[in-house]
Amino acid sequence: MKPDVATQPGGQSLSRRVYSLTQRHRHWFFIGPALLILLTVVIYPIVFSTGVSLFRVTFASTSRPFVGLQNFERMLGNDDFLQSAYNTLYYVVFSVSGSFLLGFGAALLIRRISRGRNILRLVLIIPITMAPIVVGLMWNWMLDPLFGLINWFLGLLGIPGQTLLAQASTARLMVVLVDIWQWYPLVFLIIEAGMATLPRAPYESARLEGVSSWMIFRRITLPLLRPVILVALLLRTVDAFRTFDIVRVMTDGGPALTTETLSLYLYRTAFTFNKLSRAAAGSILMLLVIGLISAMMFRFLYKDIEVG
Amino acid sequence: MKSLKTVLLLLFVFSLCLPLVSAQDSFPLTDPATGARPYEGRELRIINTEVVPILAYEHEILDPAYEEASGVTLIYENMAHSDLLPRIQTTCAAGGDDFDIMFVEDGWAGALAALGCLEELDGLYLAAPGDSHPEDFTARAFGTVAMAKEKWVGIPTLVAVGMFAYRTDLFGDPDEQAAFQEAYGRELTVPQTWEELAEVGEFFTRPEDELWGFNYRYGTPNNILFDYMIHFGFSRGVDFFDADFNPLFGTEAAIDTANFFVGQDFLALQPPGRESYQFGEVLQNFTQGKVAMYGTESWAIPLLLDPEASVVAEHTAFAPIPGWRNPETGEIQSALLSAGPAYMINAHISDEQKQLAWDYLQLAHGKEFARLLADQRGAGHRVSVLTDPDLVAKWPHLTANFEAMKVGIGRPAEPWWPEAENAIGRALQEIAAGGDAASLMADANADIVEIVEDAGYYDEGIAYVSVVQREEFVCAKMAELGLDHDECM
Amino acid sequence: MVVPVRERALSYAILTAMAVLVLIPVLAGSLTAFKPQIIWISSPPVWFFEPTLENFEFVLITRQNWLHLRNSLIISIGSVVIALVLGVPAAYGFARFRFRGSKGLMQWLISLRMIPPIVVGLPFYAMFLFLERATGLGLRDTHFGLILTYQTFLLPLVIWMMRGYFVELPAAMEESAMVEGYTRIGALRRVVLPVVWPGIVATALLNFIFAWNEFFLALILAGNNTSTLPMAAGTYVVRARVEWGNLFAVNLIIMMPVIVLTIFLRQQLVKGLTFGILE
Repeated sequence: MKPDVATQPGGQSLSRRVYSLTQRHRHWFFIGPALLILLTVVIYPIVFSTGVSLFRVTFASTSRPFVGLQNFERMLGNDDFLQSAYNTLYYVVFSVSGSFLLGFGAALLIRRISRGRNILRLVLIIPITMAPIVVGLMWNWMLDPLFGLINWFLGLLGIPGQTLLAQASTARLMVVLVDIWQWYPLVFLIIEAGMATLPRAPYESARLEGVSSWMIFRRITLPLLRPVILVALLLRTVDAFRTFDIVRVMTDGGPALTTETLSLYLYRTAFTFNKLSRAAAGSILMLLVIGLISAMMFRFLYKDIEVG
Repeated sequence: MKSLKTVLLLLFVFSLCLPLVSAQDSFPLTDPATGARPYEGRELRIINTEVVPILAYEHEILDPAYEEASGVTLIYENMAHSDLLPRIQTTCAAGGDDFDIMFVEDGWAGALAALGCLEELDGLYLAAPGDSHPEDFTARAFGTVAMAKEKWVGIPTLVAVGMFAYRTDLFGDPDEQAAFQEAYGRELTVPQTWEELAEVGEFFTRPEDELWGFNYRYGTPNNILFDYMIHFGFSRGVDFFDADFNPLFGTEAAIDTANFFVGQDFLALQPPGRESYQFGEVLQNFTQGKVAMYGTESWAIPLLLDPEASVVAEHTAFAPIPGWRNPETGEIQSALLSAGPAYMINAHISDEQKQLAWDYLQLAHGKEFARLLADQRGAGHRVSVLTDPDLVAKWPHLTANFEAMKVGIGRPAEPWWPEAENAIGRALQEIAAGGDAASLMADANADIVEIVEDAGYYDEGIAYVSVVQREEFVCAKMAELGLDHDECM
Repeated sequence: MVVPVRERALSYAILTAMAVLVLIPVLAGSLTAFKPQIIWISSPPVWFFEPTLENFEFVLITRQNWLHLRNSLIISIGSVVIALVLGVPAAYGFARFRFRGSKGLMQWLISLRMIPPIVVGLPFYAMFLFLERATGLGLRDTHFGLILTYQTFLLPLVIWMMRGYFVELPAAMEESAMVEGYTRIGALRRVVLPVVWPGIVATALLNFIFAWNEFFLALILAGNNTSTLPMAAGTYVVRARVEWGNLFAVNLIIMMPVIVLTIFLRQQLVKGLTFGILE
């Protein structure tokens, strides 16, 4: 783009028109390449999955008859799928709320101290930097009923050994707790970064008026932090919704399907049980649900923030 | 002083190299006639799982020797066992040539054969039989591990046989013997029946001393079904399917067995956490001295006897697994299994690469290596090894293994087997969590019917391949290859 | 803010407890990496022993996990670089130009982060295969293939984070540079980039962490030449036995680079994590 082209006389000349065209569409010059790649790496798989889900395809099949929505029906009528959907919901609800409350609490607390703040923050960040598979394996080791540190410690206190990961009644909760352990620092970081940018003026005037600190928190801090809170919630929801690594290595879905997540179930269906179409149908269903959830959260988010 | 240390160190290093040297001698060059090394400089890619102790041995001793003798470079892609089938299946489906040789468990061969990626070995064998000796396996073992129905597709890397490991220091302790005699009115012996197993297990279960009776695997659907069938189900007469592919998990025998094996009384004799135990944890509990006995498989022997891996290695001995006393005949029926992985050749690689792969298989997993393996690690799976008087004298359990391999039952090798296995394993896990055996087993049975139906089996009239038929397949194949097999007379 | 002493003490107590809960498993686990085999796991735990490096030697040399380390480095760095090269200009485009649908496009972009990896893994395998058969272009089991697939979750994140940094800058900055005779690209390079540099570092770091720790796509798509460290960790568990010492040795190798990077780039990370949403 040469600036002198614009100064040429003859308003409607060809070069002028070309220039104005490129000017109007110059954003594509910046956005185009990224968009092209994203279309390939994201849209194509979704189209592919949707296609596969309408046929009956297995790894071995040579004939691939069109079956319409049958795969979706079978998936929705499958107890294991519904159970893993329920488990996934459980993960989302408890892992998100747990990590949010802890993270928010930690962010509030760390603003009350000055010395050692950096080192504490650094330590708290560590779990985010670890691979989920590593976190899962580490906690397996911690929770081992005979050799784990947790039971050793409980033993020192005179409490009998617990088999938390082995019991159908507690395994799901344990996996959620480990997930919270790993991800509440993310909420903490986001909220803390958000708090650092809060304006001072409303607080000062509120304090002059003698408003209680709880009311300050409710009426000033929370509303101002709303966008940040939503970002944190959104990220956590999405990650909890697609939990795979940590469950894969901690319980592999057991005992008795109580910890199986949708991702794990679909992985098994596609790659171990060789039911590609059904897995594709399941993943499309999963995509619809997460799309719905995130769309709802977006509506809240964009009330506050003007984008683009 | 320092020089003495150096000398000792050198001696130690030298002694480590000894097995290597002797192994090398035992490998002929690729073409013994000319001494040529036709594959020099080539690469052989093997997809494998690394966790089996015997395979670790393979890497330490066998592979360097093979590389040295042939000039070939071996490249391993190792995966967690549970990720292996998904990976191989995906590649096969795609017709991929990512690897030349693959590690295939007996339950998977059906799925992979259906994808057309298992190379039939007949041609390669007839062109250069080498040291492969397919007739040197029991018919049951070979039919289960190395064949996909009537096709010969693999050379067994190991054959797993159910075994019972127990602590000699506990069973041989006079005080324990006296206490047991007093409590149960009979001698303390390694259990031979389910009832004895439960009794002895109860006797040794002392949570306050961190000791429990025994340990089985309940952790994954695959594991729990495995232990349910091989240690208990088969002996009670439970089978997978009838001749028309109707699953048999809703039968009285199957429910009885479930009530026993995953019943709360039986579970209580095992260390806490049993519902989540897989092979690793079960083995760990034994090697750390937390259980008096445990149901294991023959391939774990090297590890159980390794003082660096087990605190009770010196006090570990093996026995056949307990069985069920048939009330009518009074005989003890044992549940036996021949299962395990084989190395198979990818059908989608080039012909030259297939020859190279075969060269490796027949040399590296031939008779010679099997002997070496048995001699050093006590695990064997070839008839010539299992019946060798010197080896049997050194490793007495080999005889029992041989008997087991002659009558053991393998898993069905149908494409949908992994899914069926999952359905029934899930039900067993739910029973362990307190569910009702009768209804859960019936439900699982119905699920399997659906899975089989879904695969089109009932319509197409495909019949269940029984163990007897598998033996027939083996004998037919041996005849085709011009080989004599002892069991096929 | 004036904080009462009691309140401050309580804050210290709770935060310290949280930090301890983070440190205990991490440190105790890492200790196992230095234990000889027989005490990898034991009851009661052994705290004092002669540390050994044999586990590290075993995983890196004997089991050749240095290859996985190499693959992880190539793939993580490569995918972050590509994501930045494509994403930074796009972020700039979104920050500076308003056009029809730009808002919707941005929303769509962040929604891409929500796609469960199971949805993309399988189609990618099929796509690579198709490409290979149709054009002979081999992407399966190549570093570049994985780098490409990682763009599904890296690229949207880069665009979102970087857009925040660009929006923070007054547009007058490059406009004045353009008046001085720079082209827009020139202005971008000479004037804007030096200012948003810390943002790029933070974005790169966070994306590096995600790529480095990625497990699912690698599980489906990686092969002999591309297998990554998290996959190597998986080979020490399940089935036959858990090799705790070896496992924690690999774990440490996975953790260390990221923790070191985090220590150095902590400030940028904190800033970057709000995705530029707090302008």
